[in-house]
Amino acid sequence: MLELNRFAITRIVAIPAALDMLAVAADSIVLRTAPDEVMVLPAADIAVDDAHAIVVAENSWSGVWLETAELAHILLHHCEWQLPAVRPAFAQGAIADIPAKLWLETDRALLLIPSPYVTEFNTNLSHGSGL
Amino acid sequence: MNEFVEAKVDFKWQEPKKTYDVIIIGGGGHGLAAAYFLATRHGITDVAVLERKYIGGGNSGRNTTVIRANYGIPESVRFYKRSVDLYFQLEEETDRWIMHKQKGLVWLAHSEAHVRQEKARAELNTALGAETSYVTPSEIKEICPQIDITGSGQWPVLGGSYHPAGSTARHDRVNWALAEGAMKRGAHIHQRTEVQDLIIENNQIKGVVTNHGKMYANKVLCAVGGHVTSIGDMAGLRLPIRTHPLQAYVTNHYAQSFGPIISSTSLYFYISQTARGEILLGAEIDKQPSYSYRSGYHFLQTCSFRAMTMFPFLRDLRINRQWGGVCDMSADYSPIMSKTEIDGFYITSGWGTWGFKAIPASGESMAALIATDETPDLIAPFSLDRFKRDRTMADRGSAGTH
Amino acid sequence: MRLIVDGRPIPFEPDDSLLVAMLRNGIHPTGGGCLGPDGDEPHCLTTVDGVSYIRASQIKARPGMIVTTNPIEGYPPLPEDDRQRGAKLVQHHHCDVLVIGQGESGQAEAAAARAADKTVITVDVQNGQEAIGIYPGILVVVRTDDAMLHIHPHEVVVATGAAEILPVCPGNELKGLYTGRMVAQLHGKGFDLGRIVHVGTAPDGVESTAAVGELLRFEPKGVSPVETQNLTSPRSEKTQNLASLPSKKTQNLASLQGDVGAVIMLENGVEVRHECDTVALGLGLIPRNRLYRMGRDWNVRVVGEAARKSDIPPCPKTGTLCPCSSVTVDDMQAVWDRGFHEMELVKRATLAGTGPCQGVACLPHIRAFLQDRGKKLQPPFTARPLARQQTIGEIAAGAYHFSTPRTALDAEHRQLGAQMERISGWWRPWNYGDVAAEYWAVREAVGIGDVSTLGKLIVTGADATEALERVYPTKVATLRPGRSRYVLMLNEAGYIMDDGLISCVSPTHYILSTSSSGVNGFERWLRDWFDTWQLDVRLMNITQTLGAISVSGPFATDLLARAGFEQPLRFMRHREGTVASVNCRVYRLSFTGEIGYELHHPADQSAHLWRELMLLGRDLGIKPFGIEAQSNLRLDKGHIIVGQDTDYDSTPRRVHHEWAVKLEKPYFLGQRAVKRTNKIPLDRQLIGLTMETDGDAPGEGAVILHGDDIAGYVTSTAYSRVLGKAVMLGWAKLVDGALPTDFTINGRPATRTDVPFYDKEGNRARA
Repeated sequence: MLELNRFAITRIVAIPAALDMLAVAADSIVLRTAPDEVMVLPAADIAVDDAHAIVVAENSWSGVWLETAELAHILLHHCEWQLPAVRPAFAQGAIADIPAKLWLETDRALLLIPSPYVTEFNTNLSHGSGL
Repeated sequence: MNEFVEAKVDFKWQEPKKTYDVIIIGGGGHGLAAAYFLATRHGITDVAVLERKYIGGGNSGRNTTVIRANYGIPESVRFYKRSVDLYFQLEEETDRWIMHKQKGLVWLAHSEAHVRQEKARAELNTALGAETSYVTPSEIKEICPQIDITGSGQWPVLGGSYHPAGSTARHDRVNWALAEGAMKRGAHIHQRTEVQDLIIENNQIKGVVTNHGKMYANKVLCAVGGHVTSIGDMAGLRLPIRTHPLQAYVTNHYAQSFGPIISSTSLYFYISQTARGEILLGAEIDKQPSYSYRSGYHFLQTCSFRAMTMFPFLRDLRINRQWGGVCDMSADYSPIMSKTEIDGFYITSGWGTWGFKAIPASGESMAALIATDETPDLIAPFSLDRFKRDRTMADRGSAGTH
Repeated sequence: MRLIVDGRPIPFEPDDSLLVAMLRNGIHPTGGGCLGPDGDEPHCLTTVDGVSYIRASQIKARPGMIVTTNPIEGYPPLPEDDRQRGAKLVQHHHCDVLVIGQGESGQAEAAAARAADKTVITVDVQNGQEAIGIYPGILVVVRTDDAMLHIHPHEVVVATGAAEILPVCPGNELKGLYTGRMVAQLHGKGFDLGRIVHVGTAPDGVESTAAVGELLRFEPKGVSPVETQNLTSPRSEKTQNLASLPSKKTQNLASLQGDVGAVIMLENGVEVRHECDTVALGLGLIPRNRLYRMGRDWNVRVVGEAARKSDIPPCPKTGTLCPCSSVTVDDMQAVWDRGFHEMELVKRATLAGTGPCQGVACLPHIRAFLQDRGKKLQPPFTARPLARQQTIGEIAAGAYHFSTPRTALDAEHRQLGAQMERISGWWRPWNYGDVAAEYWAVREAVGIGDVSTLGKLIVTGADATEALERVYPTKVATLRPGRSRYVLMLNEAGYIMDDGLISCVSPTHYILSTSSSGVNGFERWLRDWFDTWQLDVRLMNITQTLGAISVSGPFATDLLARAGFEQPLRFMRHREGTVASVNCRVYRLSFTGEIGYELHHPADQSAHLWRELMLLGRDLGIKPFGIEAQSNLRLDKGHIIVGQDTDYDSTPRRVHHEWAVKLEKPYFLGQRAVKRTNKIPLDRQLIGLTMETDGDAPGEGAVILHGDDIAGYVTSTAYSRVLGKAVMLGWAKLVDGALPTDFTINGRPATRTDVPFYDKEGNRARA
């Protein structure tokens, strides 16, 4: 059972060029989830060079920091795609059948999933292995 | 010798002729049935069925053999009811054992919304003569003692609809009985004969070009599955069809004790036991259109898991083999049985996941259409031009899994 | 060490396979038939600890295992469902090269790949790793005792070796028949095999006598040569006649039981009898290449013995050809004589090759049979998974139930005793136990409902107005900031895909809502078109970002005022504001027919806001309402639910929604189709119906009759508590271009009634 908590995130949709040049605090984590979208955590006021940027304070993602070994164990049984080799790195895809985001650092990783799926995610982790 | 070795069917293969009254493209169930009904109902026997590979080798020999009439709109219920009735008499009529067996079919509802849907299905079908009743969980348990009515605590059954006429038959046997019946009366069937083009003059069909040369006929029926849009292209017809793969699998043989056909529309699987004792499982079509017969693992894995949720006894059964077929899905989930803009060129297509159960009624109707050039009332709603005429036959009931 | 076979304890040695253990004790798994060491043939199938069809040669003998032999006749029963077993886990592995089979060639391949600095995984059935299929991806699934391995390699090398050909002739179901490799294995284990006669290639390292010539039959022990002769060839001593024996006789012959006592060969035209205790069969090899043939379109290679050509045995004359399905050569001949000439037709007519060994036993003989009858050598059967049969439970490893999301109010609903259901892809409250009370709270006081599942999207950009003008059939440019409008979404065919709301924040900023199940499809649809049109717009899906609570009923405005939202909001307006200290965007609208608001707010505030509203509304008679009550409330107003009341082919005019479609607009998706179909006479429409009843209503799907003709069927139905009669929506056919008024449903009269059924002027919602 993973203790997943809501994370305060700033989500931005803007033209890709504006996101390429996004200025964020040095200790912020920027997840480029799509060419026109980023998730920045922790949440912050961020200037975006796009008059029509959509900037949303977001708390509907729940996450947990994991030790590398913990993550490896989860991925061994619940993830069929391969992680990037470099660190830090961002990766996203299904983990235990739930759309997940991974921020990979050298010795730890942040796992984020949509808050509406927290219960199902834990259920899947616990018995996604035949009945 | 096992009792399932085909013991009676006797094929009489003939050398191809240059000219026929009728050419049927596609030696699957629908093409063979059209030939059979042309011969038996209309005395038209100067007929050639052209098959690219071997007869019954496409979807007619790959489907999961469910026969039922519980559809969602009156026109469909009426049509499939006719087919169910013809199936009941097919064994006697052809004097061939097609292993037809009435089993009863249950569609499970796992939510209040689905309970309403199944009640609706029962109401509509019963009113149209395809008897279907709403059943409670305990009644379902009586029909099928092996079911875990709690769905392993995850997918409880709240009710369902029961269609007693639900049956199965051995697909190959149906194809062969019809093929033999047509051949016996003089029709030709040519295997390994692939149609490569159509011969059309002044908007009138004149024949076909095959890998063995040209063959002529003033009436041509397209009864192919899978590549129907390619044949349509040859005639300049755009068909509102997309082809999707569908997969199924069977276990090894076990003693008979699983009686009915059970389907869960929430969990997208259905299950029955074949005459040989294999447990047969299938699911819905792949979302991505493709002509591929290839098997996928995700399907096998999830279908097994979901089926086990409702039928825990499946756990230790051993899977023997899985296979794929392709389904021609029309834009409104209903078949197309029709004349076309080309004189003398007819089409039966759009058989989605419901082609097997329609074989006799489609064959009977298309034979009548070809023989008389008049569209029988039973199939008039399924004309190709209905999409232009805003008379589509959207049918929720047939969008089920089998 | 002992295990139990058919109720009898038997001893075994360490490292025995179950098959070897059984043979040590004189037990044959199926009573007879040729055995090999690699599980290719069907005669090694047993039931172990309740799991049938286990290859005895492929599992280690374990103390205490309960084994049942598989009789030739009859099938194992379906198991009971009350047995608990440990779940098997999936393990995902990635590598450059996967080598299946670790014989000589497999080891060489693995070494070469490693030398080239590639990551390599090797599996071998001798180590309990059974590769069961190659699937798109590439995904190779491998079964082990501990886990199902899902291996994702860039390249696969199939080095699975070759299987030994089994004999087809009378007596081939006797005991004491082994492949050459099996004889070598048993010999190595110290078995006393008695006098060994070999046919074909001699077994490695085992002393045996050669039986030369054409293999005619095996004879059991204890039957005198003369008797057998009579049995096998009643009319003549010439064994050539054997093939033309009446099938009943061959039948007897094929099912001879007991231990083999002699091999009968035809040598230079003369029958020669070789007395023996054991027969070693070296009849040739067929490549085990099924995995390769499954994956040959991808980066899959086959090497070593698995890449060899198949030996083709002499054409079989008589005897059992397919032991799995009990098919004899006579059966093959019989269907051949009746025109079954294609290999697939022969297979389907006899069912040869469809049993547990998947044709290993019969395929080479069928190919020889067909070749002998003038056909070209046929290719093998299509290779289909599974290469090795696994249980449904093992295959299901790693699968999950559908993951149904929960709103932030899920715990609140459950605490209130709601019946939670999977509806429109979410867990949602069907009711809270008393539908009538929920209904009346909204009609007479105030109710709150969780509508967080509604799809919510933001569209901004210089071209936002233009983009949405093209998407929606309504006029977007005329929608002023702070206002909302009901919208239909049409596809290119002019059919209704979904409905929802468009709300204008500014001409460059809109908020769109959709049905709960429609949002993902609609988002994809928008992205497709926005990309196609190359307009300057941004799109964000905020469905999960925001929770949404519906507040509905005559006291709804009062309740919001109590919660601090005091300035009244007019119908179909929206603005930002604070409700119970939560920042919301408040929408004034109505689905229930009463005054209605939707409070869209950050999802983490949902529970707080819900509880505050319940508290503040307590003396107003507030109740939460579920989907069931909401559905009844909206039906009073005749509001459609897309998907329930519409079908794939519902045009706006079919459901009386022409008012939502502005055909005079320059362009919108589906406009051409709507204009075209509008010129075609209507055939059917969705209509409102009412029926006088005593508190009941016909069911969904009930058939609507006009006279004796079927007019259509009911799509939504309920007894309207406020109107005191049944209200329905349903499809009805036009008669001579007009909708009839009087219908019959379930034998009772029903009247076509314009919607809304309730509060036709809409005064209550606008109050």
